[in-house]
Amino acid sequence: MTELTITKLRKSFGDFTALKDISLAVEDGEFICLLGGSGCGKTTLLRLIAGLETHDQGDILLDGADLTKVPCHKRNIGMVFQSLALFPHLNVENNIAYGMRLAGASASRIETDVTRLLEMVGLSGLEQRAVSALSGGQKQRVAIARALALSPQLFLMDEPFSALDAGLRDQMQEEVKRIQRDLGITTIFVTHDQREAMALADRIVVMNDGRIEQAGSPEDLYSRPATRFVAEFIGINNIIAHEGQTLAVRPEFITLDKTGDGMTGHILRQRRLGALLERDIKVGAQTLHQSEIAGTGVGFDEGETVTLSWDASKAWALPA
Amino acid sequence: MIRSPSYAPRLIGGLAFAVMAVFFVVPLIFMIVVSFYQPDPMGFYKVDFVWENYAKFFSSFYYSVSFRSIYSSALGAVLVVALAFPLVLIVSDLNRTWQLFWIILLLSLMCLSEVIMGFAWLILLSESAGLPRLLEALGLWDNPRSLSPSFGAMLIGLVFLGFSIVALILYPSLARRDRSIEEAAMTLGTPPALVFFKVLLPTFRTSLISVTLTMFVYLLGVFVMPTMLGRPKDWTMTVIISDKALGDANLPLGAALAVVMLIVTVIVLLASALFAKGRRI
Repeated sequence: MTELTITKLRKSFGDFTALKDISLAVEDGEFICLLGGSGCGKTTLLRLIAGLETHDQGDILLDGADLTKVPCHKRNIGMVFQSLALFPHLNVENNIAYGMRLAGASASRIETDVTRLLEMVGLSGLEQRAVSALSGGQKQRVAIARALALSPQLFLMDEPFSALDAGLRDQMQEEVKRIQRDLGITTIFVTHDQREAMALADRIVVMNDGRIEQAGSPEDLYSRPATRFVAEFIGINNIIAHEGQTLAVRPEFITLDKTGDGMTGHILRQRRLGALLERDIKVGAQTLHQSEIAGTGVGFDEGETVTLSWDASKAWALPA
Repeated sequence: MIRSPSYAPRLIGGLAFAVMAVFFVVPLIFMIVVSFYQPDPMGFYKVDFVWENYAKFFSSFYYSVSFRSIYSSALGAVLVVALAFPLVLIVSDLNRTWQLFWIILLLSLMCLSEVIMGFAWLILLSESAGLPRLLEALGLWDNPRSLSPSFGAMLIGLVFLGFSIVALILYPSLARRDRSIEEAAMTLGTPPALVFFKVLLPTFRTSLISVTLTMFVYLLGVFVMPTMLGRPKDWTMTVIISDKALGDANLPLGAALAVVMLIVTVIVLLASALFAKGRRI
């Protein structure tokens, strides 16, 4: 069992307050994504959990025990760094075995563990390869295997896939998700990419300016964003002021008609992305987005005036 | 479209090559040629082809001098790097202002001539001022004597001379290093005190070896520090060579000794390079 409880955590760097009273409870086996733009405090929070920074105020409890009193090297935490931070002077096997050797594991134990870990990340047979001779994806896998070598209580990842191209990133996301599910390890993953967070997380923690804006399942965040920031960050790009309310409406819930009551605008541009048809519609000073499965709606030309409507039950009223 | 080739790089490169040839290769060839000439006490040399200058090297005196040169230069080089690496490591983790302060300090140290540094240490180590008096005042030394000339004083001079050079060579790569490698080592259970030995030393092994070799060659050629701070029995081959060539006006012997030292240096460097290559994973 691993339960991580963070209470009123505060951290400043000089005049800059990186974390402002963060509280968060992570359940055993949960996959949490910390999501936010740069400088929102997500990496600082991860580094505090890892013990790479010292906090100013607040508590971090792991299974009820105060983690802040434990130095980084005794926390039993597996971490994958943004730069991966593989040891350049060691080959694949020795990178993965580093922590085990330090802990004094027997040679035979190390050998079986390294073989098992390499199999898990799909790199069997590359034991003797120099790290510099690995491809980007292979380096990622070695970093993951190394972080998991000591069977850590917590698995932390700091934007590990930001340097990969889109295809490889999707593949690595699937692998991480599979490994996490197989091991049932409590995982905290930092990212600025909402698509990545949606694909991976059981629960997404959206952070902004050192605070948690909202913590919830991907579906929660998408259909019931708590704040305008969350709605925009998560990719619901229609924030509409309507009858005294601020509504967040997903692009796919807007329907267009040639005539009718309600909001009117004109089509700025439309483009087809595979099966999906996306339109930008100018309404007053605002540009709204609408999407539909191509061929299911009425056809329009660019520049044409349209009437917008949506199902009131699908529009989410943001708190004022 | 075919781009017409640019001649500028070749021209500049060729010029540099010509300068090297005229001012480095030609004197080297001249030195090798002179090393086979007959010494002439009246003039500098007589044109001839003899091996006797080289034969003189294989006497116990020159033998021991060359071993001593290699020993003191190697020891000096290792000491310089062993001191400079940890210091630069600390400096590279300071804030920008303090880093700048140290860089400027090191650069200004490099501006000092070898002679001025030698004199400074001569005064610092002398009986009437400096360290011995300080130790006496602190009650640590009853009967203070001058600490120079001595082997230790010469070594201090060599280390002081090479320190800023090594520090400035190591600084850029240490300042730009990926610090998350050290953090990764800590998350894998390395106590902070061991990170230096388990991660930093092995990561920088290659650059440390190459900078030590560079320092070794540099210190082999140092002339002022041994003469100012060392006893005659600490004098390195460089001092002996200039002593023979200029003092005794025996240019052929000086040239022969220089050629032998050149060969020995090249052998030492090649051996170290092969050793370092053989141990790479």
